[in-house]
Amino acid sequence: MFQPEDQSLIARVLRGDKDAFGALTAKHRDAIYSFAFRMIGDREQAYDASQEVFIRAYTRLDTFDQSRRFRSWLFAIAANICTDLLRRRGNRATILALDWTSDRPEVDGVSPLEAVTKMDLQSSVAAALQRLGEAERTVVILKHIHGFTYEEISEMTGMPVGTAKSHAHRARRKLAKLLEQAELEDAG
Amino acid sequence: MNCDQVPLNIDAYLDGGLCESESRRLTEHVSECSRCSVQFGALLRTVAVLQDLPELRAPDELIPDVLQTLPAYQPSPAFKISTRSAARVEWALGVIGAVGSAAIIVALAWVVRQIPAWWDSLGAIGRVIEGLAVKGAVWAADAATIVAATCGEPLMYGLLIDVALLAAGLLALAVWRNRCRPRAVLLTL
Repeated sequence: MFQPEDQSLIARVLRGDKDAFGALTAKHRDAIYSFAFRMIGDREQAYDASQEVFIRAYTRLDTFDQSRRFRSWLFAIAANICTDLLRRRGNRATILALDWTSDRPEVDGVSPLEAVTKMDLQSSVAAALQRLGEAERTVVILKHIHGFTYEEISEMTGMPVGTAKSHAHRARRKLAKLLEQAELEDAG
Repeated sequence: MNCDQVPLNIDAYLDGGLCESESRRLTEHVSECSRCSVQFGALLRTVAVLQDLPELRAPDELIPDVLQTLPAYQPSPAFKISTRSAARVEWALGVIGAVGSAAIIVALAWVVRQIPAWWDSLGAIGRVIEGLAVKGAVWAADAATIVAATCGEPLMYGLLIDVALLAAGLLALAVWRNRCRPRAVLLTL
């Protein structure tokens, strides 16, 4: 399905077309909600955070530099809001034995056993993400789940590129260790 | 490559920062070293699982909820010049006002200078014209400020340039009128 480019939608929003903002929200809502959920680990708070991201984007749209990628700008707002929320609640880990992957699409082309194993692995990683520090979590999610470059992450978060890399490297090692522990516990 | 170099190289590899030959050296080493192989495998798998995490579907009510909340935050942008545009207009009007103010000062001072009687005596008419030069500059600055104020934000930039150039213009006028007499310049000011 044809999706209008962000730039033309933004121009329409700035001319007062609220429906265009609805289209802009529709285009990015799943990515922003996924990011917020993986950052916060709570569906209700992720929903509220996503709502705040789009409202803040709307109220500040006239300050958006159109030479930048709108997606990066939106994620910068999301990172800011999620970080504030985590700080307010003391970065408490939300490790819930819930349906981390219940919204996942159907796993095609693999056996049921493989599908279950894959889901277990994804649940373990998603839960392990909640055990990381706030900065490590932010960087590793932006880098490896949403595919941003370190330069983009640096621009979004305000941390130097080298710091973002260090966070990602540490986060990967911690996640690998947590994954290993989870598997040992499952086996035991 | 030895085992001590492997962690750094794995990080660079996973960040996509190794060239082909460095990648080959790393994979050759881990294929022969069981300890590094475990480390490499665990990190590779972690990144693969992260990249494979599905995008979650946001609840359907998110868009209506967002759209419903918008009016409380801000009137429609259609009725307001954007901050960026307003800033450009402010700058342009401020600069025009400032240049206009300076031009009026210089022009009137030049006129005064062309009339020896006025210049030499600095009598009543000369003083009136000098007074007009100052007033004209102030009016120009005020006009620029008022016009630009209609664009929304406070116009401190334009106003500051006006005031600075007005001060510079007055200083230039005083220096010109009292060349080589610094004390007289100060007294004039």
